[in-house]
Amino acid sequence: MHTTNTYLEGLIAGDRKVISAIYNAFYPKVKSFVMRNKGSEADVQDVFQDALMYLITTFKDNPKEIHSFEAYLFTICKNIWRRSLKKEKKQVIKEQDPILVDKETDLSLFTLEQHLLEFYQEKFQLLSDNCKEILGNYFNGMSYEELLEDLSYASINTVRQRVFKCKSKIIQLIKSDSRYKKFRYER
Amino acid sequence: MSDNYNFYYEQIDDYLNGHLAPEAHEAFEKAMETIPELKEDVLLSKDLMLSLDKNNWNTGHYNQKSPEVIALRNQLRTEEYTSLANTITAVGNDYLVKKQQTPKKRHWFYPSSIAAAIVILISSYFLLKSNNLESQYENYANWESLPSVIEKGTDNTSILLQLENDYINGNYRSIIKASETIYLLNAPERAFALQYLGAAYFETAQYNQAILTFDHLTELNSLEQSKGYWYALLVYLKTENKEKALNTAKKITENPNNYNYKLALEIKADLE
Repeated sequence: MHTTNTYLEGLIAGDRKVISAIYNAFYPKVKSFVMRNKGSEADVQDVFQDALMYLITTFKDNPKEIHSFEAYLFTICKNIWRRSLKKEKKQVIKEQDPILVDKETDLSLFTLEQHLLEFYQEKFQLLSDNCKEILGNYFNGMSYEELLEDLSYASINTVRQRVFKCKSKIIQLIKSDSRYKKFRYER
Repeated sequence: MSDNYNFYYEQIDDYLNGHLAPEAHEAFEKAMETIPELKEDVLLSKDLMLSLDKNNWNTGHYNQKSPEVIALRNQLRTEEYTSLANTITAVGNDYLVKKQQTPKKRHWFYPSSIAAAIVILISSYFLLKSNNLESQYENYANWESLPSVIEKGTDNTSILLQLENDYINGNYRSIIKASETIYLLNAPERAFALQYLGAAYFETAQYNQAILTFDHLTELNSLEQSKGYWYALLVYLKTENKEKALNTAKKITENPNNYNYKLALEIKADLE
């Protein structure tokens, strides 16, 4: 019986038996997700392998606790695929030829982007339930008018003020974390 | 913090959403040049909006020349990491080869092991029946085949496109929220939309609602109508309702033009 730790330890050690168990247990679910979302079998293999390499680079030197190996691996696979679709769409819109980036650079970019996302998500979870609801919807593209209708606020102005306060709160939480320096834009 | 900073800080979202008038926009950009804190908060706000938007991915924070990217890339190119990557690739290839060699449909009986199989079947009759339904579901589930309008170039405001994108992004709640609108669509569009609605109920484990939705699909005058039976069959397999799964498979096999007629024949034979 494998646990989150045995999966991670075996993966980092390059234990073929453990890696094989990971494939047997989780590859079909990832395959179903990627293929349902316009991917091919080759895409599934790339996504799965990149996700495993992501886990190695992320947890090898900085062990941290994850609740469920399956859920975390699946989230990483989903994000790798979401990112590829986004990149592809960007190229289509800009009518660009695909920008050639070597595999290691691309995985490095994803890894850092995922770490940044997790940092923001961690801060987002510290907000009140009301802030999470309103900002979650706002960041996912809901307009002030839609928020007014959906969350039954008194006026647009109240919605704007609420969004403003919640956003200021998360910005304050982010900036007061010592890790913020690491994620800060170079200026 | 200065009043000037506070004045512009309140305008950050309007600036990022393009809601400032041209003069105000220009003034805001000038202020960013002189107030570093403001510029930092604009970049952070933009970053947050992009990162926490489930339909998006923030690719703007790092680039190939960022020192962190270069450091990580160099790490991935070390012998230790390339060796790990090679092991993963090799194990992945073995897995795929084995998977291809495994027959999709599992037969419980082989001539050389009939006696043993009979013993096993008698001793764990109910368990086998249950596992069989589960493996049938795994073998036949094809939610990835839901129809797509993206490929057909539908305009961006289409509700169908919205449903499809929501499904791709796992926003099942948004699809379910649109159910009232879905039931007002004309038959061909409703037939498309109901497949996503039923699938959204399925993904959120609301199996009864999923069945009701697919039942409604079967009643429509549409070429997609028979897909309602197929998806209902998947729900019954998943929920291990053998009787209803068999009845639905029989229904599909009544007409060779029905969606996945041949697969339904296989399932029916297995269930009987």
